[in-house]
Amino acid sequence: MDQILHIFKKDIRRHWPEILLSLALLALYTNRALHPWTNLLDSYPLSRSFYFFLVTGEYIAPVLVIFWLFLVIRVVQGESLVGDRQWWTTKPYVWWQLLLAKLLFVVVFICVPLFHVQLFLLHYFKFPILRNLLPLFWMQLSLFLILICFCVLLASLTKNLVQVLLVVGVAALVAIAAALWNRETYSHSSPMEATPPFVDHLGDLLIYGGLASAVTWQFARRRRWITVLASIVLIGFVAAISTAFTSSKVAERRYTFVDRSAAPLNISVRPIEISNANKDYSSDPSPEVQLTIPVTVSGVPAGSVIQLNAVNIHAESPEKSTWSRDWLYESQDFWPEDQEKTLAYSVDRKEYQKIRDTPLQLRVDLAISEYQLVDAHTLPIASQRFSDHALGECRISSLDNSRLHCLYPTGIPDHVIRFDPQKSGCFDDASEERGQADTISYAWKSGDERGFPDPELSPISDFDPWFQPVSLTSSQNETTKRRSVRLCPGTLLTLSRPVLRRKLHIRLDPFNARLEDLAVAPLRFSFR
Amino acid sequence: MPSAIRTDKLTKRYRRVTALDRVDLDVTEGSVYALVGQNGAGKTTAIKLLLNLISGSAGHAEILGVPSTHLRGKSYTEIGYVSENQEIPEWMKVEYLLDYLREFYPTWDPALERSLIKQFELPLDRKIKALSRGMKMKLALASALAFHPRLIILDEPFGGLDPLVREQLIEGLLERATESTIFISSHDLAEIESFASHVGYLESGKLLFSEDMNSLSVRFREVEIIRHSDSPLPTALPDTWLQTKSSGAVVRFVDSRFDEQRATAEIARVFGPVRDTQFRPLTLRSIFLAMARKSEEA
Repeated sequence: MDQILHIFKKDIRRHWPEILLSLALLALYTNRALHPWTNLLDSYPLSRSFYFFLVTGEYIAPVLVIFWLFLVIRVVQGESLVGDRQWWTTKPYVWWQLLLAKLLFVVVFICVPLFHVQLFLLHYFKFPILRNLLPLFWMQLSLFLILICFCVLLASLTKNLVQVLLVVGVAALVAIAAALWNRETYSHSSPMEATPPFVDHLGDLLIYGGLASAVTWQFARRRRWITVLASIVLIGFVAAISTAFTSSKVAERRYTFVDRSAAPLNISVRPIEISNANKDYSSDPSPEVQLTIPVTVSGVPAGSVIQLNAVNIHAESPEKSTWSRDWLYESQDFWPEDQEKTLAYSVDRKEYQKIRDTPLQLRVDLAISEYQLVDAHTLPIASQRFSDHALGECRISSLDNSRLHCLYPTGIPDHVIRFDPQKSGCFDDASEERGQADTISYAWKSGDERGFPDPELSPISDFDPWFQPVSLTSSQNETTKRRSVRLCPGTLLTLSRPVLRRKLHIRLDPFNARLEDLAVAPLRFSFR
Repeated sequence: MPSAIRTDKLTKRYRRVTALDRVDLDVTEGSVYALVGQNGAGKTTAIKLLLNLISGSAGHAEILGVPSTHLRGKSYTEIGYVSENQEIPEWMKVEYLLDYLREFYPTWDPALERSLIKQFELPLDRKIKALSRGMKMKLALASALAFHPRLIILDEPFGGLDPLVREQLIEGLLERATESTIFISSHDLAEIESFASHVGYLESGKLLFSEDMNSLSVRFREVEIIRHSDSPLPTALPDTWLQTKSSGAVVRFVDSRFDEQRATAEIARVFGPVRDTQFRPLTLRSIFLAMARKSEEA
């Protein structure tokens, strides 16, 4: 223990300018976090404080995190674990006390000040502190494991900042090359794939356990290349098991196949219009062609919402040859008021070119999640800030008055907000034809698959519930007068909490069409 | 006498290069052992293996009875190490470095520390990065001596230092020679000769010999013979004769296993009767030059 404190004191003596700078940056960050409502338009007209805000406000969080990483690297490399010329290696340092001294420094000068700022922010925004202590602990742990531990490992495997920058640079180049290769090789659409939970948990355990073990081993033995090799082998192993166990079958098994009569909604394909346009995309650079399938929707029970998660299309030609791709992610919400929707799917461009004008019988499968809306209550919008136990502290967004801007402690709450503009009386007649239609709108966010918390700094989550109108039939859309809608004081919102009831796999009635009748002309961008 | 350092076929290979080749060392406690050899002979590699700074490829080493691979943490409370290559924390001031180190050593002697500061004229309020190379070596030596180590290991401590600083370092070292074992590597033979009790010669990673200085100086002699004629040298000469050269009737060589009776008999056998024979003792430097040239010729 004496040695831990002795090394710790030495590190304070050495790094006091960096510690002061870190605390100053944290103070700036805190100042920024105290004004979450501030945005550029609020600061208009431009003033000196606006410039100060622009310089410090937007970039302060990344600057703070980067400076912390720099500080951690400097502190760990104070007793470099790489090479055989370091003065300290022939002194009676006890490796685990050295490690603990470094961690103590991180805790005292990064974690503890941040924790105090987090408590202060909770107090300032009048959120309960005790109830949020556990989530705060998880946020700190997440920051520690994901950022600090990784940084300590990087610092323990490099001799100086130049080597760190080289490693980061090489890693960035590899990531960019992989992203470019991925873009060239794979399609833009996302196949619905999943990994069994035990593989996810095992992967997490191996990565975090491996990270901690690598740091410990490097401090204990100072064998850089063994540590690097072991880390690469571990990452490779986790990637291999993750790849081996990830499949669309695993994802598909999560959705129970039900007959359409047992489905919580009626959905059927609308008549497909024969297209006479030239839809030969053989010279198009895009690797995929997007198809759209118009559907009618009804029967979604009141107090429910159905979320479309993925679509799969199977095609059969008159010659009985078949074509199918796989499940592709597609996100849409079906509300009780919805009437018409359009499903989207992508096919490989070369495949499309082969069969685009062949009459096909198409079979569409959908993966859907059914949510029950519970704890419904009404919320009148106040002229300034207003609060709600389910939604947090909110106000009408100053950038877009069809949105709310809300604050909530330690994460975004699951919520569904229903808004009926007809009852609000807040139409903006001056801006007809713009904005959303004056139909019932919903804003919602579900968090049924929450993983490890993100390594965030502020305990105050900042989110904008965004209202989207339900889709009525084309004829109704045409006859309904479209007027911009704005939220205004006195507007009554209905809030509820979505609870996942079940995940289902349903199949629509087969229909006949050619792919080119469904194809959408690709978007073309040009720069002039 | 127990051994302070003992190695058994200690080997270090870097891919195809063998930096240290099956070295057997035995340094008895209380001795001043000088490991000498040319640059690149493997002296620093040997020391790094002994101190567990690098891992060996084969063989075994023990320091103060502890396997060198187990040396870590508290083991270093009995070992003082000074090297020209060590990276001392240059941001510290001299006084703070000594203050900082004091806490690590239960046997740290503040009185000895003060005496070393005075002897080496260390400027306490100066930052280490502002010190000259000689001052840094003196500081390193002071910090390695102030805790009464049982073993002091010095790797090329005198390289590039002016004579006065060398003298001060050697003086400081010799004053502690009675209570510690000193293991010093150097290619600066003149300084070693004055105080080493034992010497080992490393050549291309191999330890060619390891013995005490007295027997070494007795074993090597420069021999000068004046023959009756200036006939060419015979082709078959004894293996123990090094650097044999002739100039007219005069023949000179270094006998590496000198014994007067045996040497006289061998000279008679090789040259027959000679006019005069002289045996002169050699300096350590001359002995190593002879050994190095023999090795180069081989």
